[in-house]
Amino acid sequence: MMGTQGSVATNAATVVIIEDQQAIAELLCDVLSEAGFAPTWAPSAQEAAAVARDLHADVVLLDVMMPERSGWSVLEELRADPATHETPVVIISAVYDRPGLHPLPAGGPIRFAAKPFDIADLVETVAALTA
Amino acid sequence: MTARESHSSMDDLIARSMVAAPTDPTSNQVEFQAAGSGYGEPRPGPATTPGRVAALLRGQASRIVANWVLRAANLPAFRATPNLTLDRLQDAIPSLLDASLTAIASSDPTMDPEPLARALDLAAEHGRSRAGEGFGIGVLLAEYQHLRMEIWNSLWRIVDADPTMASVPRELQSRLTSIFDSLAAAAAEAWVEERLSTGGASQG
Repeated sequence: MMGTQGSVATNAATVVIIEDQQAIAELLCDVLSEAGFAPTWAPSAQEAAAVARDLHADVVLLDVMMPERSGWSVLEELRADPATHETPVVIISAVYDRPGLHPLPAGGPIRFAAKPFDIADLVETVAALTA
Repeated sequence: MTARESHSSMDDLIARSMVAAPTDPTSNQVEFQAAGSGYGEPRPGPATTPGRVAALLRGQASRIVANWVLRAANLPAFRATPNLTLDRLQDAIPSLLDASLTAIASSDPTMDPEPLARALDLAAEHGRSRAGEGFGIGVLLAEYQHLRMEIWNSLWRIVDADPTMASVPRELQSRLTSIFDSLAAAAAEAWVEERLSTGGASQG
């Protein structure tokens, strides 16, 4: 199942949001759409990596604290797939997990956003990753 | 009203009457850990009117509400609520923020009680609504704590962007605290009244 999809220009960068909390996902979709991106919410962590691959995501926003599956295992799946191996990922975490606590797999750039983060900072991070 | 509509209506208010918000000069880092509290040493500058500051805060209304959502959504009671929509979570917040900024901008409430009274009415309505939805009084009070915190963070962003506003936090601290204490009390009283009248259970 895929959730909210923003309506933006054809060439807008695709941002896949892997987040279990609907309110936060809706907010991120709203804000990223207004900033000119094409966001899509993937509410199911089980299918999230496939969604990112199928949509050719330019950036993935990944919540690590999800009930059905850890975001870290989603990250490993993304990195194991040649189609998403180099896709930039922004890891969203309620507790700031240092890379040392969770060894990061090789591949594309990874950024961290620890909750509560500033929404403008997140948009700038996504913009920088898609520039 | 959708989230975007509520943001837009807030932005319309801004456009009609207020000054554009400054850009946060510290927000261009690619890698970041968390929003900074913005707390820092006050710098010297001319006194500013609460009205001007409220206008600048209104210029950041959408950002304040968005950051509030990011905080509030992680409160355990909300996190445990299945399919909690953005509208349901933040429904009252844009109006409450607007009313509280109007109260901050107004003169002494004893001389001009209307702005604060309007904000208190909205807070009471919010308290009744949360009680009716089954949420506990703790999460209700946390909502006000987070809103005050985000206004405060926004205030520091303004100060960081404009050193001439350095005296603002000191000037507004007691007013902001007083207004938000009153709002939280009004919301809590209404929550209790609603619960006493219905005897419902809460979620946290």
